Amino acid sequence: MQKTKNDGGENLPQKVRPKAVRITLEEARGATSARRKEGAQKTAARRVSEPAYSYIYDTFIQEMKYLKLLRELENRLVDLGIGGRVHRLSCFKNLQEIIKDDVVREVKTVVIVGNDESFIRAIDALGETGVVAGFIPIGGEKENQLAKIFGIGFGAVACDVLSARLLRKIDLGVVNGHHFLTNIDIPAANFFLECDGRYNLSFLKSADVRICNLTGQAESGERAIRVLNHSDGFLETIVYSKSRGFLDGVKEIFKKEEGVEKLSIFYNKKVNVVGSAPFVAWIDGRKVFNKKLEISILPGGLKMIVGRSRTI
Amino acid sequence: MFKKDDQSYNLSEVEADAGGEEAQTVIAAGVRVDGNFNSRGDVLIEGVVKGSVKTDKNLKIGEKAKIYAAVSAINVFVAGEAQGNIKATGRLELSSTARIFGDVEVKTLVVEAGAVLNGKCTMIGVESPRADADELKDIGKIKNAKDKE
Repeated sequence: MQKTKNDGGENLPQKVRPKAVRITLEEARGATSARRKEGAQKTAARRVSEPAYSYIYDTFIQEMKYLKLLRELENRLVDLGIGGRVHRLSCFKNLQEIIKDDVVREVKTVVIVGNDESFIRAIDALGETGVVAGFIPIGGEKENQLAKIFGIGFGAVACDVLSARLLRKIDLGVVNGHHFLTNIDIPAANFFLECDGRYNLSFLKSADVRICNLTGQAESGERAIRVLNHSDGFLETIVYSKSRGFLDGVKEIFKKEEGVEKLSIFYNKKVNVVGSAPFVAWIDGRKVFNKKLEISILPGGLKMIVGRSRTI
Repeated sequence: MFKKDDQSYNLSEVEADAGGEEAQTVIAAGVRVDGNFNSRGDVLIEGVVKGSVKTDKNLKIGEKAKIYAAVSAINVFVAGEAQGNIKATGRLELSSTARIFGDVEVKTLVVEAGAVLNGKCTMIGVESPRADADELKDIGKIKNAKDKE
């Protein structure tokens, strides 16, 4: 505090204002850029601390019989330098939420440790995120058909595949706003298909329909003429016309109509399945009950680590 | 192209074909298509189609197929019934069971005995011989004049 003389000659205390610091525009810019640099460094440091890999263990893996296998896998992952955050699923943890959190934390790779069912459950959250998906199959070959398709071996071999990081973009299907990976099976019912908004498919006989993205094996014993491609940007619609009644079935057995195709195949980007009443559909092996399915394809929607022995 | 072997494909075999040429679309018996059906690959029809069919490659209309549509393709093989105009920039082949009710525009036409073709047939790339027709008319006129005399 300073005392200064005023006009009246009285000594009154007066507040001293701090001297205004004049800075040039260039100096201000310099300060801003310095602050920005500091922020970027902090973010980078945070990123370094956040592991690039996230492993999600399905609930069944936490059984005692898999304990030894898991230890082996974890050791191998650490040896390969691709260890990361581990999430163990339980009835209180939502797989979708975990993946969304990982995406927010900028995790680069999310690895699902489980079987086909575990991986398929994760697909809805993994699609369109840009996060690379990995898969470590656990269990028998029957529960791990996807592992064979992706060329991922069991046990430590799967860790080596992850480490090699051979990436492939795979098309994803979208049905009523949710992603699916393999196919949609619709048993014969009262419905028709709107294909690409250009033409409609209806059935003179009862017919099973399969809309395929990744796999499209015709299980009818008929020949599937065509080619199934995981990255062609098309959905394959396979229609298997069945015999209408008992007599037709008997006729088919005794009098084979040779040279008549029963398996129809179409290639579409968008298919709407419209039923006059709700019908059953199996999406990636999960049963749904709906009156309309809006199905489309998302080309390259999933980035996936695959092995060299893949079949796609 | 349109082989009919009863070989059942398994996944690995089917996928081994992937990356090859365009796939073949099949409309089997018991399936009905309404609308404009466009394809880039070969098309095999054994069912019913109403509207139009267009492909950049080959089209086969099977024996039990019924088509009420305008058809456009490079090569067309018909064994069934087609009601509508057909345009084949390459070859149109009609088998003995073929029944076509409509105009046909083709470059090369092959017709087997017993085939039915009701409609106008135009060959692509062949000029209409007008001069010859005029000459024939003249000859006709001269003949008529001589007959009158």
